[in-house]
Amino acid sequence: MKPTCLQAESLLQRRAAGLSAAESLRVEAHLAGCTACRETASMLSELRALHLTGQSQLDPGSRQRAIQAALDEGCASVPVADREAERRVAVAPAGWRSPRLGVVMTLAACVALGGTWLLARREPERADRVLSGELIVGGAARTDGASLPPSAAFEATRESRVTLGHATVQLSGGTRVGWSAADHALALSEGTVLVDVDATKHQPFDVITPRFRVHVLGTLFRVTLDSVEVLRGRVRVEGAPGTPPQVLDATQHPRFDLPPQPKPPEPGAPHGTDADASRSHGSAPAREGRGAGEGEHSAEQALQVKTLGVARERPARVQAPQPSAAAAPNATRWPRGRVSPSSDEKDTPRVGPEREGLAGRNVRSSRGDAAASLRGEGDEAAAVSALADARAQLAAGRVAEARRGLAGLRAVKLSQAQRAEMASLEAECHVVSGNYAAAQRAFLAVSERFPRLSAAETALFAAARIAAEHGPASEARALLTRYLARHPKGSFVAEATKRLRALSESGSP
Amino acid sequence: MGRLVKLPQPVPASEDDLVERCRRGDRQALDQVFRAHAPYLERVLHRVAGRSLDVEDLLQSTLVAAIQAFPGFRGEAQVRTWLARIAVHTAQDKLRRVARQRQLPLEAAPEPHVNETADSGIDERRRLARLELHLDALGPKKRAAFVLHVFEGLPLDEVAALTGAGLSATKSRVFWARRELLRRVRKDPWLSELAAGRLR
Repeated sequence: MKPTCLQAESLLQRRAAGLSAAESLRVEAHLAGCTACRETASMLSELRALHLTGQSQLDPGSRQRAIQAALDEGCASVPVADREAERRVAVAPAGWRSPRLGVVMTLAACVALGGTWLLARREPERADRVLSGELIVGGAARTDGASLPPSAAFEATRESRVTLGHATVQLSGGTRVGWSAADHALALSEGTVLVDVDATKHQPFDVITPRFRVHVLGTLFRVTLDSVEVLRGRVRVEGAPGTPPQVLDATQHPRFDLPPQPKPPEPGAPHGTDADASRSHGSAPAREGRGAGEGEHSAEQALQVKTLGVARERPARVQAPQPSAAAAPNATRWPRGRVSPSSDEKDTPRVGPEREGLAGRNVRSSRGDAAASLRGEGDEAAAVSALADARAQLAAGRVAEARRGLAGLRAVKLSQAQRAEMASLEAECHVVSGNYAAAQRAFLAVSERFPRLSAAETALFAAARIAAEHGPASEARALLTRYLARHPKGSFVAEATKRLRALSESGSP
Repeated sequence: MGRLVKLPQPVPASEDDLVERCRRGDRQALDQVFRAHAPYLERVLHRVAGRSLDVEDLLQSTLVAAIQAFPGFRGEAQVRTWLARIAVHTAQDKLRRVARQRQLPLEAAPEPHVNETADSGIDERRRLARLELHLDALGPKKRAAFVLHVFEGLPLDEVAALTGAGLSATKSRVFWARRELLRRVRKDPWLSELAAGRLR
């Protein structure tokens, strides 16, 4: 039977995608007898050919430029879940088209401004030297074990590691730097460096590029009998009764408070890498902790304060101001309840406003405990901020801080979607803590309490996946089957089907 | 603006690992994924946005949006399809802005001079420019659906997935876009000759 004009129209549209032999025959037969369709087919074909002549590919240089610019902008603040990796900061020039900045000029600038950076001894404690790789210094190659002059410019011919002052620096091949030992400053003119600063030396370290600098700081914190407040850097508070060890960070979580308990002040404890907190009455003056946490001291301590790793400012503070806030991607591998504050929206990526990323995801953590400010206020925007803050804490592995933030939301009036998100985040806290049984129970509770929200689907799948990876196979099969039955068109159907098949093939009981 | 990066680490072979690293914001992984899919994205952006917008700028915007959306990517679609969806949204969003700012309506676009010396190269460029004008006049949604399905040859369900529309809506858009485009093309002296010449 010959297709009608409407059917032929549909087939003609699909011509570019390829028709089956039977369909092609039908189309050709119809065109043979229908002038209108023949003309339409011809015109579409010509228009398609014309459109394809238009340039649709960028030249390699433009493409590379677009990718690099996107990475510069999009990776502006990249949180790392690994605490150890947080101590390592690599800095590279951004969008720098002319790398031939005079290293000597940069060094001169470092020296000229050096007085403002001096916080410690001028002489390096250890000789600067090449640990591995090869550097060109003054036209001569220096390799493993070779010493480096206290002030010099050099280039890495391949990936290399060097000690510079109290830092170990890894340079990628082609990196060009200038080093001033007296100022503890490294000027980067090309390439990438990964800098690991020894915090025990209590000395500053700067990395300078033409557009910004990174200043590694000491730690500044105030301690009273009942509280610790970090003004710069990070510390860990241990030994508080009924409270697990906590990390205080100057930008996100700077304060720790205990209920007031009068106790006599104790004499100071010896200095060292760890510092003991004071229990003096009233507020103690802030003390400069040069990486070793020199707070006031007391003998018997309910509180111990330790400075952590490399005390440094948050990366965001050294970046040039940008019109768009950077997102705080969640590093957890578990499915999230939502990607925007509105939980009822589908989890599809959306664009706009321009360059600002997904709506609602760029809520950066405000200073301190955002949830604390919500008590009794019920502010929608503040709730969103607190949830985002908890999410960011979780992404960075700071479970205690995330839990505290979420606990603060219990007194706040939240929408159902926000309650679902809160419950999902609490379940994720269990995951990050390794308590998979509790996580599974919590996720299942979310799926039962909020059956009509998208969070329910995500939570049910999360519970199923936990069972598949950490629980008995029978339970995993049951949960995966339940997921597929309840969400036949869900976002995780493919993975659920794959996992269920794998369980069946493995024959596990 | 500064950026924080890690030095290259051994790249795991599996795509799942690569995607996981992208979700964590690993620059190396993102660079690798973007390089692999950039040519396809450029084609999609060109098809959807035409010559109204700069493809390099669109590509950059698309990739920035992808970096920020990666943590939410669950692997329910292929990375390429997921990126293409972002690209389509980016292009449509910008086209809408351009349309609002457009000062010269299509109908007022200058008509070609009939006594101009014919040069095949110039004629080709002019015809292409006219075609792009007519495609722009369809509106971002119909243009995207029509171009991706009829010109690019993507199946309707894939076009629906890329544009975030339902299958019925996509079919409808393609149908009406085709009708409107052909109506405009038949009235355009530069383009109507294209089909007339071939029929003879």
